[in-house]
Amino acid sequence: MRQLARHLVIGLAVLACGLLAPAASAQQQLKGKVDIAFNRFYDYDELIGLCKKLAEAYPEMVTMSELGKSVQGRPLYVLIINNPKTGPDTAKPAIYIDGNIHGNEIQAGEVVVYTAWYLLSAYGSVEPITKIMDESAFYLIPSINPDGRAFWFAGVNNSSSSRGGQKPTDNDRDGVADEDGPEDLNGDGAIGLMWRPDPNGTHKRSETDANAMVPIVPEVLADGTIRRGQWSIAGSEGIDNDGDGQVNEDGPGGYDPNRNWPADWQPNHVQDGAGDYPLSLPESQAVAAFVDAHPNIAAGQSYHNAGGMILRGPGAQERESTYGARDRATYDAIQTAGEQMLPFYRKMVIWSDLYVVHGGFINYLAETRGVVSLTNEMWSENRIMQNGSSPTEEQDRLWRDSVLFGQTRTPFTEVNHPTLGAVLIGGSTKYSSRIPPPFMAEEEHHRNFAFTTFHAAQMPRLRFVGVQMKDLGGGLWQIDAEIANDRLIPTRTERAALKSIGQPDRLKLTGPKVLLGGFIRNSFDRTVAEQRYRPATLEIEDGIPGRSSRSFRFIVQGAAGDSIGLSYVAEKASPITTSVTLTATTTPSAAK
Amino acid sequence: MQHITTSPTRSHRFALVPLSSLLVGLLVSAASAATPLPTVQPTTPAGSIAATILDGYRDAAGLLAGARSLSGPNVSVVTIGRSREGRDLVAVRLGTSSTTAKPAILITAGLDGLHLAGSEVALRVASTLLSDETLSKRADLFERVTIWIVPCANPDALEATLHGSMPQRGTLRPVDDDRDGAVDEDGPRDIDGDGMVLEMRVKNPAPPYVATLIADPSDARLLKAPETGVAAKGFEAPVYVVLPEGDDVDGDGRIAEDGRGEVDLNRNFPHRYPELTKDAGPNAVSEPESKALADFVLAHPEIVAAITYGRHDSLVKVPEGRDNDATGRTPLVYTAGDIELYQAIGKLYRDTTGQARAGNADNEGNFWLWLADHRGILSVASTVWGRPDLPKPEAPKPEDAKPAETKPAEAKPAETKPADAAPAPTPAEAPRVSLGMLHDPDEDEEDELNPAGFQTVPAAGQQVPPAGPGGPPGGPPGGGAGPGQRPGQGGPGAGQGGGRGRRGGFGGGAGFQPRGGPAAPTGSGASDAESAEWLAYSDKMRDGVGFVAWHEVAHPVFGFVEVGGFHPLFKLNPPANEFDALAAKQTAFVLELIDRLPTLAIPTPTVTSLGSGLYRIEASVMNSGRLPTVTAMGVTTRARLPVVARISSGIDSIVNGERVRKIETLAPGARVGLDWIVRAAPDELVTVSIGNVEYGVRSFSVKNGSIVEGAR
Repeated sequence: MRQLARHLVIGLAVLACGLLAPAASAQQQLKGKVDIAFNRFYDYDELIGLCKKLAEAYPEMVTMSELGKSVQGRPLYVLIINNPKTGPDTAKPAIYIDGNIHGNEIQAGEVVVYTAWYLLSAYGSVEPITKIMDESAFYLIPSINPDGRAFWFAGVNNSSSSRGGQKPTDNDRDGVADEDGPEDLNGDGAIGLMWRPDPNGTHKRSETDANAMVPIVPEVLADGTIRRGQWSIAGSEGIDNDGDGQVNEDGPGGYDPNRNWPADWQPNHVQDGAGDYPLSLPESQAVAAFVDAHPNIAAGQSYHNAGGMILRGPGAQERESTYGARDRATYDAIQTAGEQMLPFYRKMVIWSDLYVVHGGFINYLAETRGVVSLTNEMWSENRIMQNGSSPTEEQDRLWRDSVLFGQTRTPFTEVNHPTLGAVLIGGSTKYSSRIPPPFMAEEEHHRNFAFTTFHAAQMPRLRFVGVQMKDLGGGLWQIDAEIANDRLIPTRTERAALKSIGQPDRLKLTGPKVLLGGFIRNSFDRTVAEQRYRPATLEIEDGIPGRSSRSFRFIVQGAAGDSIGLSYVAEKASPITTSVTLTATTTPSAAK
Repeated sequence: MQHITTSPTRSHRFALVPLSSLLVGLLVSAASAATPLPTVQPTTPAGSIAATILDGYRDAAGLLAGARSLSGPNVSVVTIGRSREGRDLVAVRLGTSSTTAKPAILITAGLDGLHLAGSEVALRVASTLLSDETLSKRADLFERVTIWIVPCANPDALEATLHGSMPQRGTLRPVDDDRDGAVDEDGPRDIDGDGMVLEMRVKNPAPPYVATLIADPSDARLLKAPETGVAAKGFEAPVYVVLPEGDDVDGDGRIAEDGRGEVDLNRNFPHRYPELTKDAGPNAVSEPESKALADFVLAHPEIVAAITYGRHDSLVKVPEGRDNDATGRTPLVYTAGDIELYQAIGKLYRDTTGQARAGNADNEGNFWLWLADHRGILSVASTVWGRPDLPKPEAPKPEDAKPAETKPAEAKPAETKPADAAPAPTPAEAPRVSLGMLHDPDEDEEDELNPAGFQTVPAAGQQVPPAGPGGPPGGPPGGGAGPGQRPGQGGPGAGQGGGRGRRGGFGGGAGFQPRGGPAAPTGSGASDAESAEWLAYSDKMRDGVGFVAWHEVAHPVFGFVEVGGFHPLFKLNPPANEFDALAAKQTAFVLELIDRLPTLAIPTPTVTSLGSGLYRIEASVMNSGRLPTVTAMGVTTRARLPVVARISSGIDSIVNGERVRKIETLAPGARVGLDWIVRAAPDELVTVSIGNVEYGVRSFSVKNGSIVEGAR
């Protein structure tokens, strides 16, 4: 595996030679038809507006289609990026890329638009990009939670709120939905924490940050008194709208769209926020219909924030067996490359390294549709000092006050709360965490895009290594064909083969009558693992593994001069064909 | 059959495959549509697999018309969705049109296209509930409860079963079962042209088919696995392989492996959804029919109890397992805290209906356990009908009822035996594998609930295999070839159901490949006994309609085969003339359940003035029904609503007590006290409301220290 990883790094260097020129010089500035500023963030309509501009500027390469509507009626769009001159998108391996399934994780939307922008701007001038675009299709959905994104921008929120969608949900089970959400009591545009004065408080005001509280550990002082804080948390900013004694317990929406997918879906008592049943949300239904209509999707990336992670499934321990050894090796190779391309990002397994997820989106792609799929959790605090460590208190203060000029902070203000009395509210804006500052956003977009393009470049690509023909005499011929996949991702994942997902690959011989067909380990093999029925069309359930090849043998009945056609068809790779002519010789004949 | 006829190129590949699939599909449907299907059939069409067995059953249009013909002030019919083929999915609502909240129960039938009896009974339950007789005893029935009845959840399958040559269990979603790019191109088909797709047994098949079975010496219509291993008396070479009636249209070496459809709706719900397995669909709730049902349930939170008619049973034999699934938090069947409740309901059902036998099926992805374990609804399953006892012998001595004394196992009368059934019956000790093994493994019959039922059988003159490994009490039957009493011809039920001769009959073609390889023996004595019991029932009470004798037919792959077997609709569906009696029993059970539904009562509240405008308000809420307001699983799922008690006083006026109090469940007879101290201005009206959309909301009001509006 270490050797494999080294190959990967070499592969990466080859791929990226146009992007990261040797000798560390600056990369060529792209001459695109559309200028987009990536040092800022866009609400849903603006984001879609950018997609439309790209679609209009590159009509031959982009098809923008509506997949369906969100709960609140916003259209969901996919950008299909494909060079029709090299074939229709459905005849090529495709990578599916989405973002922002959690409405608050906004940069996960911009990175998808960045991907479209970069690919289209670089096509024709940056050789590796041109190559991968000629070989593959890209399915890009900038946000699969338009309502959540729109509400995060338009509503009062913090960096963690508006995670779900806007389907009314009775979270407190009192028979009324969404009746007790937060309020912006201090008018600072953000939902912060409320602090009540408390002589036995858990916190005190920070001495270095006028807008922060710091925790106090109760401590017996020399004079025998106990040191305590002066403030305690009084909940998130809002009032008890429904008078049930709880604040903000039933706000807008209140579920997790990334638990609504048909892979190990579990009901709410097992997986909080799962929704009523798998694909119960219109957004999930629309996206799944698209995915299910495109069995050529071979790779997947679903962008999230935050934490600097490159995640794969499974989401739960009891699903560990859904990733066999061969699949784990494929994932590990791609994730390992990601760690090299994305500073301070770590490869992880969802259930064991993060938390348990039932019904997650990439689990659906990987475990029930046989797609090698990852989630990148974009942005990490370790990027602040760019040294792999969290900032120290002083570094953090300077970051906040002198690098970001205090823009992520709001001052504490005193508010007379209807039930709590005087409270302090304030502290942080919704941009204060999880999202990179604008000046670092573009780098995050680019590195993640580059990694996902690397991932795309690992989609299977097939070639005939050779076709060997042997005259057995009496009008019988032995045809051996070896087919290689030069990329990391197999034409069929171990999971797909095991669970009969999609169709098996097929190697078809046309021309003479086929008397025997089957698998051989190599051309010296004396025993054919025969496919007894329909031997002219071999069904290959396991496909062609990554960075590997497989050999097949046919015995045919024919005459010298007969032409033989061979074609190999896989759902997740472009098909290949070749032909040979039967000649009275045992010399190997090179494939075309 | 090749589907890719030219060397595919990039641009052709994806275009070609669907096109060729379409062509194959057209050819197949053209071939199978030899007899044009009438659009509306008042009765079962002759020449279909349903003829005789389903004589008198209505088709989808007939059921719909039946639903729409229900009339009266307390009936309405709502459309809850549309099937894949565009048929209306309807729910009949029985209840006053008043908007006052009250509990509802849901009766669902016809999820399974093989279980047509449920639909007929469900509609009759509706009309019986509406009858004057019911209302004379329960005048306020429709004020107390709403009854939703979905009579036919899968009308497309019902139509296909009624009009075609093979039964259709699931929805008509096209599925490429053999994943060769062609959809439904090599399904079971009617090789012998008798209008029915049955089973084939192939004697000494050539490789790669492997014989695994021998004829059962006790009744050569049945097959069994020969004994092997240390305990076997000797070696007996297997002779037969059993396959669905069909051939190998696509030349892939598999017989009838890619038939019509389908998605089994009882494998398409999220509870223990059998992900990525045959007939389960691409994901849970993938079908228009399952989605319509799920959305209907979700839109009606007032549904507190549900009965599902179909191939599952939770009432004759109440499931006792208490294990959870892999998450550890969802029960495989019922949660431990509910088992006593369901046992009591099962007893109520048996006492009310008298049903003593029921088949069953596996519980992965079915509807009724989705209701119980995900939606938290009190949910049970009924097969509606079970195989009846065979008629008693003509002059039984009362003390002869014990099996030991009725043991002589007699040969069947020679004239009822197939011509090739040469071996004389021998004591049936070996495990016996009947054709039943070719039915879905999830249809293992479980009739051990009523041993008395088994005991009556030998008295009727039918040889009975041992009920268990030990064999029948009293040792092996003696010889068996002697003359026995005649089967109980003329007994109850005999001669009903069509009465065509066996040879022209209505065989048991299960339209599917045996799972887990060809003809794997199932082995257990109990299930073998079941097949013999069904055969006896068919022979003695149904004129043999339940089993089609094996008969030789030319076959394109094997040269010749024998076609025959159990009729696949026979074990699930009673003769139509039993519907009224069955519906009366089911209605009685529904009413017993309704009589036990929780009712919220608010015993007289009290108000005490504490002075200075302070009042103590004390009330309680009680469940005066005989079922819990919410099952233990309902509490766990949080899918059900708590009973909510609210006081209208502003939060600042409540000196003590919760303004909103949630009571997750109330056991029968349980009482929860509510206590507030509030400050109230003179003449201020303070209102307490208690309830929810399931059980209605009661309220009382307090003014100046007294109750001014009583608890309603």
